[in-house]
Amino acid sequence: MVALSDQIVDRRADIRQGDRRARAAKVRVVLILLFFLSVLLGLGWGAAGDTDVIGALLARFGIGEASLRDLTIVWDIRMPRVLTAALVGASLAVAGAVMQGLFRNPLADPGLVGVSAGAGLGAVMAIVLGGLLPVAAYTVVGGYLIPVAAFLGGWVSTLVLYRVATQGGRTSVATMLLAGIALGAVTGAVTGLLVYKADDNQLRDLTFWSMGSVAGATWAKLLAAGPLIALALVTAPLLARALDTLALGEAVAHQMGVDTQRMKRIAILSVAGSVGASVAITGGIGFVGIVVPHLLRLLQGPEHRMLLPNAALLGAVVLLLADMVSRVAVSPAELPIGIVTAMMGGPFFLWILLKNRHLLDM
Amino acid sequence: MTLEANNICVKFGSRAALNGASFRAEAGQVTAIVGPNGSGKTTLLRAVTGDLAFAGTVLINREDTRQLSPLDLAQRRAVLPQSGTIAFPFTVLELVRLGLTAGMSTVEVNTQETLPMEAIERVGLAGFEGRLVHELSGGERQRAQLARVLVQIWEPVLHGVPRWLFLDEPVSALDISHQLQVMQIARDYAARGGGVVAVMHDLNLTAMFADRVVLMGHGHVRASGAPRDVLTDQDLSACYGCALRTNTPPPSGGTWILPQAAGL
Repeated sequence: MVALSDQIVDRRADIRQGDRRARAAKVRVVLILLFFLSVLLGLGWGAAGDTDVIGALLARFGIGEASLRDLTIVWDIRMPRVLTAALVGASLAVAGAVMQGLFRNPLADPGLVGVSAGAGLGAVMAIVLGGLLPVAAYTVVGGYLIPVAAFLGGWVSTLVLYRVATQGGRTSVATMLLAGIALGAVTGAVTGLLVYKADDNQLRDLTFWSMGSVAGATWAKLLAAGPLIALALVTAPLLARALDTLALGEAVAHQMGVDTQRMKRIAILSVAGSVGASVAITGGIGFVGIVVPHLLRLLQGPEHRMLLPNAALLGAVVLLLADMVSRVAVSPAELPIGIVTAMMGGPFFLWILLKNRHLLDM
Repeated sequence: MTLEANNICVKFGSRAALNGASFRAEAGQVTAIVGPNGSGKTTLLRAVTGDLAFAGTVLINREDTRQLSPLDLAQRRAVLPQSGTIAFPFTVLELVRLGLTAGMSTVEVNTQETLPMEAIERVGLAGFEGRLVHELSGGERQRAQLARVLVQIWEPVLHGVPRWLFLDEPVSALDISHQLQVMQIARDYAARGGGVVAVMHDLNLTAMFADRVVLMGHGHVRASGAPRDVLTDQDLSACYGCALRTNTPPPSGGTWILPQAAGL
């Protein structure tokens, strides 16, 4: 943390040349190292600390041997969990960066396209009304009712917002923002109504869902959500140049040759897909989408070509670290990861803001 | 090669901002659009640059702008807006480098990395490349934006076809020496074969730098042609609605100041 703060304070010396790409490349190398380190740590962290992680990893590829217990812990329990944390962290951070670029506002987050509110409503409906489903339907979706409902809820509300904000083939970002507030109020009210109707068990489920957790991660969930998230992570860098020009306003972006409507559609749909999938498998995890891109902009400048890949890496690292904290903070129980990200992210974000106020007044 | 705007009509709600405005501009010349506030100068420019829905036709080098994709347009013309905000803390160099987005600044791809610095020097901002754009003064910011626009269509003539530089009140935020500098950049661009169309407020600068003047009033083109034919006492007074005299000291005998640049 000390090194990080020095870097932020020293940033003026580094940008004197005006080109912060070299610095962004250095940041990337550090982040890649941190990423592998935290994946490895994440595989060994917490209860059953005597597990031979390296041995179990290698044994899977035929190098050496490991006990069945260690293999199970590393490959069936912790690997999906660690990969889920990494993918979801990357997806939230990249989605945040894309949304901030699209809305030209450093405070925008993925929730602005309605996906979080819609996914929340979907999850609450599944928890409270799930018991009313015919038995036949229940056997089809079974244990995946909540994630499926959350994903669908996120998509439906994003599509509604997109349709409301699009007129004559042009999507108004401002309308989308305002309609998002209106839709958020409605979904919030319906959610409140369902919470009011819920019994004690359902209330408990609801509370934990809204605080987010990667504890329930399985290979099956990961394989369902992973491709959508991966697709969004791969498409995001294609938007980088267009997002840069958008910082000058939509008219200027168009003058510089960007098909703004096409890029808005790609950005909104990819965010809805990846955040919808993330929220579906882990519940609500706040703060990553705002803090990570913000921190990186202060460190290395706002150019999206360098920002988006680094945001994916830092988002993954942050959620991996948060997961480790969540495993030991109240051990032997586990803290929901959303609480950890908010507890770490909130004060850290405030501290950054205090140190860099002069950069933010524009 | 020419730019032709034919019978342009633009409506904002039920109010007609342009009522069949037409004009021509030649590559190799600076064409100035002048007129009082609200006469439709900027609206006409925005229609010509393809940033506004309009009725009528705009032909850039005989190509209908509505048939061109945003990328095709960006390779044929660049636009300096009246004022601009920037959402994130870009440095001057990062801003100017955005001009490379359309990808056809020059024929030689390998000069692209050095172009932004060259453009920054051309607008007199050498040494400012590491400064944050939103910490610059209004005039410096305007010149940084001009550098970005110049990078976009760096070669005035590409594959034998002229490119077009559109400027919306390029000098309103500048002091007098930077006004001359920016107008000189526009002149040079035209001298090397490109087309320049600028919306202007300052009639003296217009008279000094423009080859052709388009005088607007109430959504129409009132007159167009060489400065000495268009900028007449009668037309100007009628258009602006106040008494205007050319080449005459003020009746009170007060001080008047004009730059005395050589070669104008």
